[in-house]
Amino acid sequence: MNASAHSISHGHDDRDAHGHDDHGAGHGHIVLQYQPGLPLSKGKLIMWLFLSTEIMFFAALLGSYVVLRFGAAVWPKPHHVHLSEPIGAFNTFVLICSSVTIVLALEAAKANKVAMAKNWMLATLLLGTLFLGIKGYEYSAKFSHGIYPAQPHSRIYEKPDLYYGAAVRARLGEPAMIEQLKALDDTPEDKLSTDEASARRRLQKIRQMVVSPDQQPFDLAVVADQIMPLPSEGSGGHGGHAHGLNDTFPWLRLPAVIPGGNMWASTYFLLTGFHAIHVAVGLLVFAILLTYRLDRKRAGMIENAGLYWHFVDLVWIFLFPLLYLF
Amino acid sequence: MSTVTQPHAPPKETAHHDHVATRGSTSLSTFLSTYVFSKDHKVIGLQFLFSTLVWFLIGGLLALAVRWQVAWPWSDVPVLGKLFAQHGGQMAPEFYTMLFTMHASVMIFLVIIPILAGAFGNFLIPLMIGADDMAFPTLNMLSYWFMWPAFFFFGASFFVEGGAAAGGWTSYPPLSTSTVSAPGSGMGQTLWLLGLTMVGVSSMLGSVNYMTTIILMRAPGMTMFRLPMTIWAMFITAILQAFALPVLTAAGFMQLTDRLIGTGFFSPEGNIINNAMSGAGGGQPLLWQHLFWFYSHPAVYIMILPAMGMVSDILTTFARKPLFGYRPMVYSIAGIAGLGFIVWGHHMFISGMNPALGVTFMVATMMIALPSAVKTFNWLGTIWGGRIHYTTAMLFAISFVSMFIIGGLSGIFMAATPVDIFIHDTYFIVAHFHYVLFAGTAMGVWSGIYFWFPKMFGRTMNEFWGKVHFFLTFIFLNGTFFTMHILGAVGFPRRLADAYHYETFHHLQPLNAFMTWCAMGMVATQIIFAINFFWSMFRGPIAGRNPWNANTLEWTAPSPPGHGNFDFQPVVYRGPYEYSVPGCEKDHLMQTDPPHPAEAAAAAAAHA
Repeated sequence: MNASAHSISHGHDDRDAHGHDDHGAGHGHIVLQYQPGLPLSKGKLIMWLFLSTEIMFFAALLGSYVVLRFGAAVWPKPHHVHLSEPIGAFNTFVLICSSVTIVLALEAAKANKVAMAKNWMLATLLLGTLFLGIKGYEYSAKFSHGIYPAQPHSRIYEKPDLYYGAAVRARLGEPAMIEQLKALDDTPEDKLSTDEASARRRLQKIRQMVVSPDQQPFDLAVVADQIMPLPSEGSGGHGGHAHGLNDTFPWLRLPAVIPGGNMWASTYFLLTGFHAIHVAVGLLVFAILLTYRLDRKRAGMIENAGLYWHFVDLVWIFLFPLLYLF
Repeated sequence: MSTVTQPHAPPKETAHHDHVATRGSTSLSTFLSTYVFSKDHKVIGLQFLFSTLVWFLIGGLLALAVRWQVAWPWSDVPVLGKLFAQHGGQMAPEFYTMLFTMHASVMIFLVIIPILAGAFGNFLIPLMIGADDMAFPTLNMLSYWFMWPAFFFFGASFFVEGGAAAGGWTSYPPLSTSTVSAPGSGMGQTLWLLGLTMVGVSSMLGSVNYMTTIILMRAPGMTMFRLPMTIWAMFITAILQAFALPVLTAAGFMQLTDRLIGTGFFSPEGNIINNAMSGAGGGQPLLWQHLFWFYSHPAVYIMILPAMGMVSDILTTFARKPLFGYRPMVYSIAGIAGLGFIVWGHHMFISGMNPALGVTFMVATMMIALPSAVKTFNWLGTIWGGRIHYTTAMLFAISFVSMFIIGGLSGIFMAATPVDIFIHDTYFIVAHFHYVLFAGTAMGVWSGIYFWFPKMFGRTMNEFWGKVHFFLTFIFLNGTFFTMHILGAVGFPRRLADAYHYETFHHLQPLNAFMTWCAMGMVATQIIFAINFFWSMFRGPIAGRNPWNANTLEWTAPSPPGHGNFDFQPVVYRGPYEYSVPGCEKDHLMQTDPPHPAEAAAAAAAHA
């Protein structure tokens, strides 16, 4: 090992936009020349390769979604599971805007306009955060309807069968629930809105139905329809849904029937969840980038972050129609 | 050598010492950064090598325990019976199931894949292309350190309640997705999935780094078609890993959520296990099989292509002849890899499949015989008429080729759906993949270790004991695995704790006992290898830069190469296989040898 090479071992490969300085200084060695096979920096090439592995990852998830959806006996309509197309479309718009702002940040950095680059980067960060915020709002709307990715929390049943009837009975028989129901029953009629009054009558009716010894199979379907009706095509308007007992009295939290609802929830949370994780990673990268001076020297870094961000956008461009529109 | 440490010594001062002296006066942190958290591809490669060899031993012992039960069912197991005593030294059926599951999982995910791509890939790629290191050394270090959680998860799973995973290495639902379906479906299975994910992250980090390095960091003159076969194989393997593995990672996450939070991706409607409804249902067990094999079939090639590449280089070196058909060799590796992506269904012929689809998979699978045959005949063509040097590395390489032929031919049996329906889940399958993976890849790995040992440690391994190791391993492996074909042909089932439960298999017990004796001999033989390995590391004869008179770039570097690999700028003038060139006084021309006068004259004549 020849030690004279200290001074040159730093400017090792200036094509590398990461300013990659992994070779420890102090281990002097000669600087080797290479014959690159592609006119790309190391950082950019590995980012493209990494993204291609990501494509396969999401291809597996989307492929599973397609197989599960078309293999399912029933699949819920977006309105059955309280998906709102306008919110989804707005979120798509937010994400597309963030793709524009990251490009503007890159252009500004290339032109050495440091302050402007920082502003556009900040805008990207905010738009991405807005996207996640809206996604969180959508998630909470699912949760409030008892739609969870999985069993223990999920209040969704596939069909109004015996298991469903038993679940409704069990919920109505909880001590706290009995007290709340008693309080509702004792409320004078004039303290309730017309909506609530009619809902109370219907609730009383289904409470009798679920415990009735001469219950007919169809009765449970009526119960389910009262608790959370599934709007037919076009009746719900934009994202709104017919009012069920669970909506009038949110504390009821009675089990609901959505045919195919559990598998829908599994796939919805899987796809949007992994997408959201990728968005969050992107935001972290932007936050780190914001601590740097975003000048021409950082353009390569911004470009790589932007490549990743475009990929995350592109995944959403697939997810939005698959989950919200079809 | 001074023991006084000078933590604030200016770099100028230490630079006066040579490399070894600098190591001698290190503090603990330098030791850690040199040998533990090293970013040097050679150290990382050796870290992979040592870790995987340890797991190789563990996997081998697991296999012996499996063999014990198959040969002498329900008899007391020595040692293991005391460790995991369940029925007074006998193994329980579910313990047997756990043994073969973990044998396969350890061997595949912690040995073969990381030893090829991780150990040899890391050590050889920068050296053979003339680079000072990988494109991203830190990422490279991470790819090794991501193996440790996997080691931990797999290792810890033996000690959790219910034991390690027992659903087979394929982890088919419902055994794998429902925590109550079998004793080993509990925590052990979850740890197995977590370990698998970590192996996946490690492989992904490694593969993108390898591709970037090979594309961007070749020495001047090292065109793609001057790359040694080892590098071509590593490059194509990296592509396979990068594109197939994310699918398994995604499927693994889905299985994890099925187990941990109760989604129903892989459990069908009305799935009742142990008298309880399992999950919400609506999922598809077959979907797991498709996703799993979409990775795991290409993984079969991840487990053999690098060995094929290394063997190609070793055969040419010791036959002193150019590789027969260099470009067809490259194209056939690419062909195998490409076809490897569209044949996964042949693992599922009896899982339920549209016959038209089955035929498609069958035909595609049989097409793989074509590039494989190209490779085999080219290897034969390479050694044909050569001046063969029967070194240990060469013996292992030749046995790789011949054993691969046996394993490859039995693969064609299985590709045919009608035949596969009969031999599916019999020992014929076990024979096939052990011929490819043990008699093939493991022999290739030993060949590579004996061949590149001088470059790794600067000393040569003992040839005599190497040959003893080779011949004993070769005999015992055929004793163990060839007989499996016979068992399989009469329908002896795999994965049963006691197949003698069926009277028709009673007469096979002596054969099984013979195989188990051979297997024990095979494991015992590795003691010779271990002693030779460690003895040679410190006491072996010092090897020069190029002990084998080979052509490729790593043999121009010092043995072992220092940090930065090359003490000169390598410039490549020719392909890697110019052995016994007519009209040349040396019997080989290294890739760095400039054109000699006769060549220059010929080139001038061609241009004129």
